[in-house]
Amino acid sequence: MVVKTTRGSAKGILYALLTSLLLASIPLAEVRVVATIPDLADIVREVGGDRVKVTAIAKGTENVHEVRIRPSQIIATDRADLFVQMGLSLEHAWVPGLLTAARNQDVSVGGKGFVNCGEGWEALDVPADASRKRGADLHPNGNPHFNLDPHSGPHMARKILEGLLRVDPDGREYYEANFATYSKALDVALKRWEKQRERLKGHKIVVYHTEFRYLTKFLGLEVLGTIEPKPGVPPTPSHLIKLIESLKDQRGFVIVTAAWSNNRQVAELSRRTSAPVVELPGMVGSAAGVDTWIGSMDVRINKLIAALEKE
Amino acid sequence: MEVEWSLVWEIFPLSILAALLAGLVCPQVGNFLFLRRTGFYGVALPQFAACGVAFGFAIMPWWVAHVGIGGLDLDTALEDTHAAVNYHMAWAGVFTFGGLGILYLFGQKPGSEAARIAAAFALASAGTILFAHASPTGEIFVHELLRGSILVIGLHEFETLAVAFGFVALAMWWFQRGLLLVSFDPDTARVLGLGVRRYEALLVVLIGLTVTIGSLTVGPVVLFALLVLPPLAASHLARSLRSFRWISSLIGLGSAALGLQLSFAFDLPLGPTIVAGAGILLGLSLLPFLSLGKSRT
Amino acid sequence: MVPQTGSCLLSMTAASFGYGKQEVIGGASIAIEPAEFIAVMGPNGSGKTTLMRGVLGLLEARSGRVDRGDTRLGYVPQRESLDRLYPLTVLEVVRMGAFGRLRHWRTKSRGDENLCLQMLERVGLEGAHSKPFSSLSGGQRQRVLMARALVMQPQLLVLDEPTSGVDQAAAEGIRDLLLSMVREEGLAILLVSHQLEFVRTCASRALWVEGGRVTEKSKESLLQNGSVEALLAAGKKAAKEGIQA
Ligand SMILES: [Zn+2]
Repeated sequence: MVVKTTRGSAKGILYALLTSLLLASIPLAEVRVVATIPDLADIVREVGGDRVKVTAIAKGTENVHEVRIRPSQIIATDRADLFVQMGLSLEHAWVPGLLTAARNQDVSVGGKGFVNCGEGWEALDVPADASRKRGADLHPNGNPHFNLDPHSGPHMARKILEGLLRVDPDGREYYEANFATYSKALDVALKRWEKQRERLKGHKIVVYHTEFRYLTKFLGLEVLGTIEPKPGVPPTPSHLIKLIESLKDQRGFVIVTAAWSNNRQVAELSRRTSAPVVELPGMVGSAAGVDTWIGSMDVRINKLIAALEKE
Repeated sequence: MEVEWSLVWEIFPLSILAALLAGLVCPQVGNFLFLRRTGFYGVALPQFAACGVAFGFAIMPWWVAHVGIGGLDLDTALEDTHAAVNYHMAWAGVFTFGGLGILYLFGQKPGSEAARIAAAFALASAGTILFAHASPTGEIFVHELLRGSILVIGLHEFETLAVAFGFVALAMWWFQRGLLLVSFDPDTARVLGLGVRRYEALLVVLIGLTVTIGSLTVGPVVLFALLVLPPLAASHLARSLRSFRWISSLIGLGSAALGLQLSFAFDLPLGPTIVAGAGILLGLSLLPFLSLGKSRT
Repeated sequence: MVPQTGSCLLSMTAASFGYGKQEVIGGASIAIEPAEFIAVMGPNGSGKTTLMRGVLGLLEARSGRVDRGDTRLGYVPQRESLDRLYPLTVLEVVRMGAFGRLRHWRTKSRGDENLCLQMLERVGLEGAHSKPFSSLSGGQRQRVLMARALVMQPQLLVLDEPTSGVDQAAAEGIRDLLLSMVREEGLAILLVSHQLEFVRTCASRALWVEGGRVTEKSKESLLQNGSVEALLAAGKKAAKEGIQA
């Protein structure tokens, strides 16, 4: 790019650049937040606005149960004022290690800056028998993927607001105003989704993992089967055979996956049953244009409508 | 990318020290595996340890109910690998030493040792997957432990690593003559009155200890790389056994240092980056030979 | 280093040796005196190596008695039994001879270091101490192993096929060296060999091993052309290949 400017305007640009840099480097009571998943990071941004700087750990395309920690994320957690997790054992494989390594008392479990969104959430599929004797299960405390529930926005936002008020009470007015605005937006979105779901009621799907449990319940979709025999357990041959058998007489269903689970077993099942595969955004950031929590839910519902109405 | 090294040192002292210590000590054990032409053990033994960890996970509900893990309840034991690290290490140890014992017993029978170890490796790999399958938390935690948690190493793990590897290094140095002669020329060792069986047993203990502790701190893949690659690289460069041992440990240390540098500079997972570092140094060690080959043709 | 003449260095009385359930050598009786040069001969697979291992104490006697007193043994193994993967220098190999008397963590002591260099000179390899052991010729490696055995300061030196695969000139060098050690230092030598010519020119007596039995052959019977050849020919066919090899 070739920029031709007069001397004066060049000086002006330089001046503007310098002041903006200076302003950017003097944060107004900046609260450093680490969120385990991008969905939470988005909501932190909505509620925290300019007073927060947020880092998300999992990438949108990753399997949230299994996230590989990188050095910068431990550094970020070490410096964080607020740590926000989903909880209900969603991130249980990697958050304890991350918190141990970061050695930040403020954000460790029970600390002032620790936010557990799963607290107070009524999970689906809570096992009646909590003894774990029923074999492998990644969801020992019920289904933890409630970030994929269209109803969950207000709950997560409230938890985050409470956390921000604990670590940065000076920002109360600001946060509460943001929260009110965001709550309105969530309300509008929920109304929209409730309207859309009329078009989906009674449609049938097969899923890989039970991460879309809350969404399918909200939409009134009928889940014909799960490719994983149990959460976190890769498909066994006998389970796949049973699944294919049971789908023999079914027509007009789609196979729903996320980026991390759109694998060869899914392709094989699709080939055997000639059902199309629909890859939904697992989280914010899992595809181009999926930048906000509300937006990600829109993409999911629209994609499902497009796929199922075709079938 | 700009890295604040003072900050890195402030937050990751244990990870850095653990990586460097493993880089220094593992090659010394690996040297013997290499020279005795049992480099395969470097791959198979960490897999035994992994299998042991997976087994420990699989039987954890029973174990917590009937034996107990330091008073932990099942959920904590399953999900806090730092809290239950002694339990995991114990199972890794049982399987590593068990594997070594079985290989030793079968070693008395004729047949290709490489094939035996390959078979053992295959069995241990399958066992790892199957036990992980039966684990109450599925494969996730087994993966999490086995991919190498060096970046999130806890104080207790670090202390265990430091004590164990310190002991291994000291024993390697203190008994270096016996270990060498017993490996190189066992008959002469016996004629000179060195207890061959005792030294062999010592070597097995040192290898087993390194693998057991290493698997649960730096992870099986890093461990494998630090056991196998530095001796291989050093063998191209060394002109004497003395220099072989120095170069091997320097390459191990260099791999760890390079891995740390790259990991922090480019924000990459530490374990695989150390392996890549070892690979880079192995490649560099081969360079003189490549240019030599060219000039000849 | 010179042992008292007359004292028996090693005596074996009706000793038997074997592996597992199998007995390989039965009822062997030998006495070895200083300054003796004893060759162990016999067809392939007859138990020569087993007998040698019994002498060295690498095999326990299953019955009978082996008395070594406090005789210092030196051992020269077959060089091909040593893995050339080890990046050892010549000196590092020779130093191993002193491992039996060093304190634990050390690999060398000053006195032994001089002895090692002396012994390398003795075997005609002065100046080769920093060369890689594995790069040497067969004959040179053999001499390095002999230097190592001499560093053990032995009274009885046991050699396993030292001249197999070595050219004529090198074999003569080895023989001269062995003979000078017997004559000048009164060292006793027990040598396992296939090579009749070699044995004939240096051994003072021979032990004949065949079918698990050890019999004594005098120097004279070795000198009688044909007698040993006849014995060897009567042995297994494989033995013949061994002699020619
Ligand atoms: Zn899940």
